[in-house]
Amino acid sequence: MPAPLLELRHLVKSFGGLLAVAGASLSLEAGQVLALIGPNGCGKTTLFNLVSGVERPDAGVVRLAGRDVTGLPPQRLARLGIGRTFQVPGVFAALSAREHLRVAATAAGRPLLEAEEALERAELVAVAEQPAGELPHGLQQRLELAMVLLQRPRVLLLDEPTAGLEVGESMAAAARIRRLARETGAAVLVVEHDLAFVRALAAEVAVMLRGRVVARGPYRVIAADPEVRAAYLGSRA
Amino acid sequence: MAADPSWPLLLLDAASHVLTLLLVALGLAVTFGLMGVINLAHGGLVVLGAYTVFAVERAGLGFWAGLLAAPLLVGLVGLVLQILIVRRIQHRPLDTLVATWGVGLAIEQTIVLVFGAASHTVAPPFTTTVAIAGSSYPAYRLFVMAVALAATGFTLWLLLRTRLGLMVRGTVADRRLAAATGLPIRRLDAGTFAYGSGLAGLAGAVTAPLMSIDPQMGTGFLLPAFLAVLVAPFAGPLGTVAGAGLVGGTESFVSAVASPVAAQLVVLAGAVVLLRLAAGRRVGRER
Repeated sequence: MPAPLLELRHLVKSFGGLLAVAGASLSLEAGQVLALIGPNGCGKTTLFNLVSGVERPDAGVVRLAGRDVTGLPPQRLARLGIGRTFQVPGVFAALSAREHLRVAATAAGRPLLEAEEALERAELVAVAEQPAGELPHGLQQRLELAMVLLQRPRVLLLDEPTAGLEVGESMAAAARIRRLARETGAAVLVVEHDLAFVRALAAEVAVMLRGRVVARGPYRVIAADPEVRAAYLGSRA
Repeated sequence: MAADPSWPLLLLDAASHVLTLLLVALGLAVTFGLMGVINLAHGGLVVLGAYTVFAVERAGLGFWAGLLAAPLLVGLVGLVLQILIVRRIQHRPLDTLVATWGVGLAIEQTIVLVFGAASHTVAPPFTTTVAIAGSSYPAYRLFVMAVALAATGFTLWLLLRTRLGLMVRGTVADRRLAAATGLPIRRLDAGTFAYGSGLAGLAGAVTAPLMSIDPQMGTGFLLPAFLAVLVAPFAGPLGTVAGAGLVGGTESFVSAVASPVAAQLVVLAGAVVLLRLAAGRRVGRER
């Protein structure tokens, strides 16, 4: 059996005395969409940071297509094919939307023409010259995603892609993410709070509790799990 | 300077003063204004540029070789400085301040050891004068002004019109996102700092024939350059043009109608007021 595209084994990270990630393991195949859910403070964002190189794990291994990439800096991981978006959309405030995509194209070593194509595909041509910091939230997110896609990521990490979106918008986002995984073959890991969105994503769901991945399966099964309900879903009902 | 109150010459002197300041401040606009490194070694780097010209000329290679060598050598020093020191402490402003101050002292004292503490002069490569408004004006001063304008234009072009500049602006705007996008942020940092240092070297080299050079002259450059960058209405080289105009222009004007000491006082007082009004704007950019 070939190695999974992304494999996390027993990742550990603590800040001071606080154990944020306590031996989390997870694996993803190409084209797979997996939603990572869990209560606030369960370590989801830290896990994301470990995979994308923003933080270095204290212990454990991150493998990309079998290759050990643990602790590499984010810019190296980005060039190896791990793309990510941020909870608060990352935009270079003063740069225009077009400049953003040009930066991304340059970083990925692609011709500027691809920046123009990405601008069209993301339907951002009308706001191409505006400083990205002044764009509405939803457009900033679209811009951020368009930037990541210019990297042609093999693994895509999306941190709360529905934050700040309206319901209709988040359903469209779910469809976009599914299509993206299907068309590019990227493995997509989504951190999400919005369970309606997770259901629409029709993804497999992994549950994080106290720094570990404690359950994984189809949404229906996970939603019915008593422990998960008590720890997470129950708090919402 | 202000002995003959002929207005065209007075204006020309003011322009010369402003553009010299702009040239010195330009490098700082890159390392401090753009990258946020509180770089107190900038004055030392300017001095190093001046002494490079002096040394190359004394070695018999002539002024122009020195003018070419200075930005390259000082840029290289800046690169080493960035990799060995600045990169490691840049996120801690106070440490950066102390460390770059120390580097500035080290450069100064090295120059004292090699060339002695006394002042030296660098002969201008040409002593031609140009007739302007009935008086003669040294052509070399006009050359320095042209270099200042060219260096500023080139820096702006690099920053605003090239893909390299785009990558630098991205890295400056948001390091986290730049890294996630795959930009080689460490190499961009090092290169940008080296470029800013090279500009300091160029400034020292090209202005060396206008004054007598001594190891301590860096301090005299550092303060007005920092003021020019700090009062710049917006970050980056273009803001620094305005900042240098403001600081240098005020200085020249008050020097002409009152005295150089009054000029210093007015500029410092003005800077204090401006900085107070703008407080938080720049501090807020620190991460």
